[in-house]
Amino acid sequence: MKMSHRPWSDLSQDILTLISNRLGLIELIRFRSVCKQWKSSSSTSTAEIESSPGLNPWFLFYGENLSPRSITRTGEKYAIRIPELEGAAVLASSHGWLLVFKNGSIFFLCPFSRSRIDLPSSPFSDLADHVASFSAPPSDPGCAVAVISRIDGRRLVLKLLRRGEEEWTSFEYSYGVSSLDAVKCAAHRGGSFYFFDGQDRLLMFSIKELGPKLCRVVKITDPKERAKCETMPFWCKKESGLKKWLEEDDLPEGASISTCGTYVESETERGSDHVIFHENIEAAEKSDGDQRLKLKGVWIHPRFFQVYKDGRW
Amino acid sequence: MSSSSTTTTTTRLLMLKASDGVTFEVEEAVATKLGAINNMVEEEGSEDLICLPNVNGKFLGMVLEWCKKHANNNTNSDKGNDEVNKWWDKEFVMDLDQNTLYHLLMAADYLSGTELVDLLTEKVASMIRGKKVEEIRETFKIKSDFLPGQEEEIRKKNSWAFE
Repeated sequence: MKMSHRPWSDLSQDILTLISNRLGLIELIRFRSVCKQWKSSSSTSTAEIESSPGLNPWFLFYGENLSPRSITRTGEKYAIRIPELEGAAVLASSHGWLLVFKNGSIFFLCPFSRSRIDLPSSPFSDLADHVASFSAPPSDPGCAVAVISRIDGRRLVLKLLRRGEEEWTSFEYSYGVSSLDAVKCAAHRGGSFYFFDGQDRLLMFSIKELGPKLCRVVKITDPKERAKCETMPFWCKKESGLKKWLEEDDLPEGASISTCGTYVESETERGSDHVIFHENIEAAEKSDGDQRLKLKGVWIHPRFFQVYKDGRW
Repeated sequence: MSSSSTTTTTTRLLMLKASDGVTFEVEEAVATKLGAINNMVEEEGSEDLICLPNVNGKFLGMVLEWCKKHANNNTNSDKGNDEVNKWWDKEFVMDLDQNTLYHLLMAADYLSGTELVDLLTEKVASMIRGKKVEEIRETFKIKSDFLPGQEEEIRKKNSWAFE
């Protein structure tokens, strides 16, 4: 039999999909522009390996008068066009998706594919001390979004939206003045949202029980004592080391940066996952009274989700 | 002499016939690593000769060689087996030329050799990594069939990734 040279563009869709499923973000984008067949076969590929356990996220700069730039985990820098992030604030980052607030509306955005899923009317019109998290990718039927904010010195309101719902459900929660500081960061794990204040307090909210629980986070070394307490299912990285990691031209003199963290799965089964906290890195005081440059940033696993069903929630 | 019987488990042998008439005699346990053959054996039961009109002898031989190695390595319940398999897989794909890789992939897919398909698609992915679009096209001898303007449009969306 004659072994003809068969064209690689003619491989079956299934095999091409298996190949494109193995590619990282940049290679997947390139794969999609090789030929028509390769493009259509990779429509469901999401660069899943970019969020493999143990892999660090990328960092994405954005903000007023700043075209977004991303820094890969190996330090390469790319200028990326993401108009959706102009004048926007990222509330949460997880599973390769961002939860974005812009001009009074709230939506999910995959910044690299620029896929967008709009949520029903935003539960708030102005951004204040809001902190948010979501439980799964927005395309997942089990996805739930929670946004928490303070009403006054002793009351919080948590707004919850589960996938498919048109309206947010509110839960109000009163607490002692000294029992919880302003909420700074949020995460989700195993059906519960975790809201951390800047100190050692934690408000847990179970999606199933729809109830909050106030906890204190302490480090216990004595095994006997430890047996009496609940163990945190992940550890918290309050300082990402961002400032050291950034180079001078990333963070100009006098610039401050506020960042949104994300969730990182551990490489080994026994090791535990960690949450990179939101951070505020203040600039050193400038003596000449110049207005300080305020930058924003977010940690994100670089995935490439495509949404076909007209981006409905 | 000890009275214990030697434990040679009698394994059934299957005859596989490729499209060019070449035949292979394979232990059932090895051949049924391939989903397609496993199905045929289960469905047809007694049939000992299996004809495979879509696979050429050269590639059927290579697929079976891979199956045999994996079946042998897996009979020892050593923990090191994974390592051995990995090492052997690496050797197996290292020197495949492109045409062989293509046909082997088609054969493995046709025979539903899932693990082998994984190995070979990873090999293809590794040939794509780190290459620019033009280099990928050159490597795989592919001509762009996008309409004029279409490709620019795609590139414009993510121009940063093409730098």
